[in-house]
Amino acid sequence: MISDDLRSEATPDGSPPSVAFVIWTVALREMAEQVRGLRFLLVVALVLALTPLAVYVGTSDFRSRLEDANRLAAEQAEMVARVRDNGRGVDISWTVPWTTESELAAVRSVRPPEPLSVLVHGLDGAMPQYWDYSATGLILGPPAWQPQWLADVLGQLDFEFLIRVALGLLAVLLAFDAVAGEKELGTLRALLSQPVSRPALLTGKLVGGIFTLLIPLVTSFLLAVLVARVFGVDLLLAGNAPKILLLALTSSAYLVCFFSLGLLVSSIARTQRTSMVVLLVTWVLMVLAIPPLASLLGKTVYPTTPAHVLQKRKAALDDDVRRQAEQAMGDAYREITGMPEGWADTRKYEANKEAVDQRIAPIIVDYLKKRRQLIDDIDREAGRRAQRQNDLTRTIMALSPAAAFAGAAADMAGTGDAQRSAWFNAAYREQLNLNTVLFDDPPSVMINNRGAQFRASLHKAPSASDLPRFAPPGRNAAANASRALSLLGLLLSTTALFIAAGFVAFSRYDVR
Amino acid sequence: MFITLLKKEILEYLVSIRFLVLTALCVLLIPLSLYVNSETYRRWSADYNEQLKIESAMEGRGNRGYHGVRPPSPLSVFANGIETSLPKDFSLENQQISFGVPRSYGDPIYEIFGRIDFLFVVQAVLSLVALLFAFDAVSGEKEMGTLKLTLANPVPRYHVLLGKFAGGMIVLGSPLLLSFTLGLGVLVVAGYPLFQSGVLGGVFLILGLAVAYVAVFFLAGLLVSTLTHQSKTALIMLMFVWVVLVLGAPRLSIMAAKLIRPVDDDSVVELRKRLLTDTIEKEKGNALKPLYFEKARQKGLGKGQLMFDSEDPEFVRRRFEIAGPFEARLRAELTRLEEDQQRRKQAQLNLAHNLSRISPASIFSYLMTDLSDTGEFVKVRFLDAVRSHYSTMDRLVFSRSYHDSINDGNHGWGFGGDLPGSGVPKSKDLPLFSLSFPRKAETIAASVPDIGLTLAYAVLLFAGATVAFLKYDLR
Repeated sequence: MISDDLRSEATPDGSPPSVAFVIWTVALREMAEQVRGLRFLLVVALVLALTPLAVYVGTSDFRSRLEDANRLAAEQAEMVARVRDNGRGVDISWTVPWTTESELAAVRSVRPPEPLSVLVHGLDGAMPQYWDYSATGLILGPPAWQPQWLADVLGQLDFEFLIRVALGLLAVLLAFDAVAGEKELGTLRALLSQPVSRPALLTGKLVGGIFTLLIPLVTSFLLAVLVARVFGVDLLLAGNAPKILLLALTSSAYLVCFFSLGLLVSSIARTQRTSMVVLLVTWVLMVLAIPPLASLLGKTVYPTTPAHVLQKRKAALDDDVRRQAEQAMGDAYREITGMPEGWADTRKYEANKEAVDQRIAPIIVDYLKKRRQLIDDIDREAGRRAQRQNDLTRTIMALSPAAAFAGAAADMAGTGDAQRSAWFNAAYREQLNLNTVLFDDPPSVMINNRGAQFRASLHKAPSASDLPRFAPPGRNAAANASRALSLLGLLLSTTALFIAAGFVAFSRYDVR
Repeated sequence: MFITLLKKEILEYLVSIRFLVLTALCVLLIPLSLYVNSETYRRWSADYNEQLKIESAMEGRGNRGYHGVRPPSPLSVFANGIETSLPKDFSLENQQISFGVPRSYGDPIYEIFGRIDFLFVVQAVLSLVALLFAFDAVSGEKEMGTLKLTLANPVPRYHVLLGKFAGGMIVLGSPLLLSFTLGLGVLVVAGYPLFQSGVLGGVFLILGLAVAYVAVFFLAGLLVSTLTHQSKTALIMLMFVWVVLVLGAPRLSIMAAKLIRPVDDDSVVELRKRLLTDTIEKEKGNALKPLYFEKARQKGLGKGQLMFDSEDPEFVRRRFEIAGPFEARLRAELTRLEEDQQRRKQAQLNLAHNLSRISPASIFSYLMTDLSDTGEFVKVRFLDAVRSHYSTMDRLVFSRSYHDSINDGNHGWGFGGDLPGSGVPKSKDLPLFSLSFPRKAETIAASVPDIGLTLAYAVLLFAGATVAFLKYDLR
């Protein structure tokens, strides 16, 4: 009994034991009891058995995505070489009926996978494998990950999921009877009759619980890094060590949060049964229900149109405007060269190039202006809606520590929303750069003389090496962490709130 | 006596905090998730219609039948299933089917947390609540000593257990029924096509299955409760079982299947196909080179000029004689590669399916998604429909056209078009892709084994609980 321990140490000179001593004794006792308990053994065995599996699947996924990305990059280098060899340069600014796959690929931005996705899969597989650039804006490549139909029905399992769900549950299971159980057994009375302050007692329980939770957490992290190493992904390379450390810290903050929530409920509840029912239901709501509900609610309140539908919409609108411009240019061409309707001859154009170019220049400018406006309108509206949706979703998600943890973990591993928007912004910047050099200054245009089309080359197309280079977003730990810090702060303040409320509830507990 | 027992159980549950929590959860989560998912469905339908419109506008430019869009299933409101991960469209080219992106593409949060639908609410939340109802049903009475009192009465032991089961299910089922009805009301107000044919029947089946699934978990709770002497031990063991069955087993089965039957990535197979196409096309080009050069000499074309002479039937015939075997070989090899990959994937999937059937939670997923037309059944149907559409297009268009590329080291020439006299149908005569959802009778027939398995689980668990209870020593 804890009370025996306290009495034996406290009596030599009759003065009450120091606060630090009480906390230490209670914490050690708690740990010793919890570690031997059934729940600890069961859950820890489960987590330690599943960790190697989750990490193995993570590494094999990562490696296959890495292979894909490398192959795409090699293909792109080949495309660039081909475009350079043919000496025509990159000329994709005017949408033409036939595909120009190689030229399109010459300005492609390929995204390599993130090594820490082995632990926190996050969005790494769901983000586009590459971005293409076109006259009507960004084109998203396919997701890096082949969609897995069964996984969608049954759900994914990665290392982060194990911590969030299994260890999160352990935190709750360890805490539910910490106070309520002693109330029922009557040991709390005995304990409080000793010269022990209530805050010190609760702090002892808190510290003991935290240390108990740290054992499986640290073990599973070490195991995960080791297993990843065995399967050929060294997670400690390339400045990843601080990120993993941050990840472990965030994970422990998350576990502490659930444990202190458990202590709070346990202090309020009269019986362990009530405490447990309330805690388990809260746990299910916070871990499994609120996060997806938040995303769905966000989408219901501020619906957005998927990117691929927007792409199609832009292309369809551009098609109409462009065809008008092509026909207007055809009229000008016919007038100057005297060709009959429905006839096209590039040589006639070359012979009268100056005159025709002068006539069609304002038509092109007018078309480009219209196109820009139409694309900007669609983009701006879509961006505004996406922003509002995202804000609402994040606000609702802040209600759940599990959601905050998942968000922070993904951001720290570089597979989260922060990294996603960084990539999209980088791609968007590249699109703007390409707009100025390429898309808003088309090297050639299609001219349509009542059904007969030909391609008129206005000036030399820029070579692939002249185009602005794509600058991928940095992946240093500090930049990722700064985005995650607000979420971590939220997690910590929620924890502080739970602890404070727990102290108040415990101090108000009526022993009688 | 049985009625008395039943009344006692019901009353006991009704006054406990658990009933309150259950009712609150049901009333909050079920109508909300149904409403939110019906809005999602509406958005998907709008996107689908817009895409159809865009496709038909593009059709005027001569690529009718080259694209297809998959309609969303109305019942996806109850179980999203593969609705979000199956490609929502596809396009065809000669020797190639390229699938589009899934509906969920570009939605960041869903990827981390998954979705919330009726399936999930029942599968994860209500199964947990069922365990919370059952964990102390017997062990709690053992601890308090009331079990001795009850059994002192002239009542068969299995009546006591049956009373607990019936009482628990009545109390568990009524908030579920209530909030489901409420949710359906919300759907009707939100303009969901509830009374469309095939929807209402599916809805009742879904509800029935949900009740059966909850019963399985309640029985599992009863079994563990009869086996243990302390309700706390029962609870901890049940929580462990719950995590393993609901969260662990389904996900683990995928991993285990990947380990046991590894399959090449689709992208690797795609690469292999491309290499094969390149090789055979090059061989074909080399074989055709003399013919094209001969034609150029015959026509007296300038240096570096070649042509496909569609006016000369002899040329067309000889070209076909040379190119035909290559094209046939390419077709056969590509089909073989594709079928091989599909077979391996299907084998892996079947293994994962069967492994996961150890858990009632995954069986429930399969049943619910199949009934909602968002499961394996519809996936296979869609992929088959795409393949048969491709073979129609192949018969009508691709096999009646030519694509030759000739290379003599310095120069490359490409020729393509419809083979003269082969009778490629006009664009407007080409068939459009369409997909119809299976009739409910078909789905149910396909789901019979899983329904049977669920019932078998329930019967086994009840039998186990009865045996354990009969063997319980009162002293």
